Amino acid sequence: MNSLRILFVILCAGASLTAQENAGVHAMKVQGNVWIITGAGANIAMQAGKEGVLLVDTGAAGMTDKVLAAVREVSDGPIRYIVNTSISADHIGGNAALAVLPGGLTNGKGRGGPTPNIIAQENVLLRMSTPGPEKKAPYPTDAWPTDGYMAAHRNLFFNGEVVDILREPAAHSDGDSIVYFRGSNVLVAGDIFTTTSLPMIDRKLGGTAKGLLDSLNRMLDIAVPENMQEGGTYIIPGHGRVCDEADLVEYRDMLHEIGDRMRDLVKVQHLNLAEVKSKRPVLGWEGRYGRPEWSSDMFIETLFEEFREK
Amino acid sequence: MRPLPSRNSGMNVADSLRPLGCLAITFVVLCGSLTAAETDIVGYWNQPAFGTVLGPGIAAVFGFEEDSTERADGPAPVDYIGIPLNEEARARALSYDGSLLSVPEHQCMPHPAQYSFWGPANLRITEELDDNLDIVAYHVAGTFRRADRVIYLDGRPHPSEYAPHTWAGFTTGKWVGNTLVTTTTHIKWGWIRRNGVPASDQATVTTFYTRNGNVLTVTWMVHDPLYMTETYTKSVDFIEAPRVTAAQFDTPATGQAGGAFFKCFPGEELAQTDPYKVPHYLPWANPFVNEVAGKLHLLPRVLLGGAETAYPEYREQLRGSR
Repeated sequence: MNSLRILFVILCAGASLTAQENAGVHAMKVQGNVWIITGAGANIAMQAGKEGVLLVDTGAAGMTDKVLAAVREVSDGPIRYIVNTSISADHIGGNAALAVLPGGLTNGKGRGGPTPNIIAQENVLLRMSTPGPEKKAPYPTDAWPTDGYMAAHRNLFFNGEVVDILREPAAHSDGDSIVYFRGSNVLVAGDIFTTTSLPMIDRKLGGTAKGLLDSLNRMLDIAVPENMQEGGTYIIPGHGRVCDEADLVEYRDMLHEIGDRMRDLVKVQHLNLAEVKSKRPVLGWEGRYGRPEWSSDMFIETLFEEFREK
Repeated sequence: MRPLPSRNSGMNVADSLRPLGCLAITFVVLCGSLTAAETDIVGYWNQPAFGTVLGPGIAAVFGFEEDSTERADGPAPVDYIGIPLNEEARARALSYDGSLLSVPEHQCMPHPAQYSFWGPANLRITEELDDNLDIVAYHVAGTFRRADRVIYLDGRPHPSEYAPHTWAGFTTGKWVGNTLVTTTTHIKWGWIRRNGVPASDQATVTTFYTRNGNVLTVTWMVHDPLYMTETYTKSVDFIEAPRVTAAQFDTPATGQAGGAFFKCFPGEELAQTDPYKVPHYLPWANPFVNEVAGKLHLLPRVLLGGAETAYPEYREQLRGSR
């Protein structure tokens, strides 16, 4: 049931943008060659340089014009690559509109070129293209990844720096990728890490709490603070503000502690779901991260299913 | 004697008296100059010390007597009395295990703005001037692990909601009479007591810098809608000190290893089979719930804090709980 709910949330995300996100679509420099574009659904990371533009995620459907305007605040170059961090609708909603643009150009200067290459873990491609009961693919062909990778990682060298695309198995879903811009020292987390909600674990799409925790730990291994646990590697979460390692630590610690609470309640005390909820294992973070679309109860139900199976 | 901050000082006395004529203005300016010595916070400020002597005629520079339970090793576990924490904060505090500080990612964290003046601090406050010699900002350095605070006085707005949060946060201020009043936002999550009472990244802090002679009183109010039912207010006094006594944090007088406060690199402190272990207690199984309460012959609930425990009337309940 929770998976249906979270799927609903994901599919509706484009239409359910918060007032905050509707306030405007803007590009803000993070560091190096990387910017964050906010207000278009999920956060979009943009790397820009002499070779063009690389986008990590494309925001919600219907926001592409504003996204492109934000891109053009920074760069007039063609969009060469798009990386999708997952299949979430507010991350891939702009794929179809951007994918048909020659080189991503919209400035009327007539320059052409190849359309952007869309890179995503293979399961994203499979879920977007596999026909459903009505024998129709869930997403139009233009939106599909053109490069569905299966390995543990994919590397690019673009705009003078290495871009690591790392597969994160069974975290938010079974098609997650994180992206690390080595030279700019910016890590893009997708929905594995947000500052606005409890960990979004979509079991129907293959997500697990264990995989998500493993992924948070992996990101902690990548991130290095500059000094006093601050700065250094910056992290663009799927939603919310720009973070550094200390913010990621807080989120990791939360999931670790909640997981241990659930383990105690489910595996040691053998409580049923109602009893577990009555113990409020998310207490401490309910107000900070709980929200109607992905409430503490929904999160507990998801964890309960996973811990009951173990 | 330093000049009175001429812009954004909140002391527009000269403006209001302009109709009285040049003589009056001159008088006021002279008085203002005299007042400036009392309102200027630039300089070196030490915490009242326990008595450590660095050398002949050089006073002690580290350690202070206020709030002694906060000094050195810090407060006992599960002693939240006087803190207006809510049930969410209490659950997190009860989950806190001091071994968390052995986790590499936790080892180098400085005190956040919600707490920093309560920790060890030898302040060096400097001013940043523009081309017209107006004060753009004060720089307050010297709190634990150098989460230096910049107080902008030039009216600039606070950053975007998408901007990173820092331990020091982003601070703006203005003079109100003889007090510099500042507002800090964009602070990282942290703590308001070193036994795990949390402060959220949604907290804001209002700080008052008031100088009386050679004493600088820093009072700060933590407004935390996520973890506090009321504003939490603390104050600390600092004493003006000559430069020679304003020890750097890497001196032996601090009791810390040389250089440890300047640049901190984490290391492995415990042999862990799980490198990603996060030490903590289950909030319903904290082994220290009865420790302090038992020593003081109080009911454990008394030590769990809450706004009511900060008020004098609570003494009656304390008596009843023995």
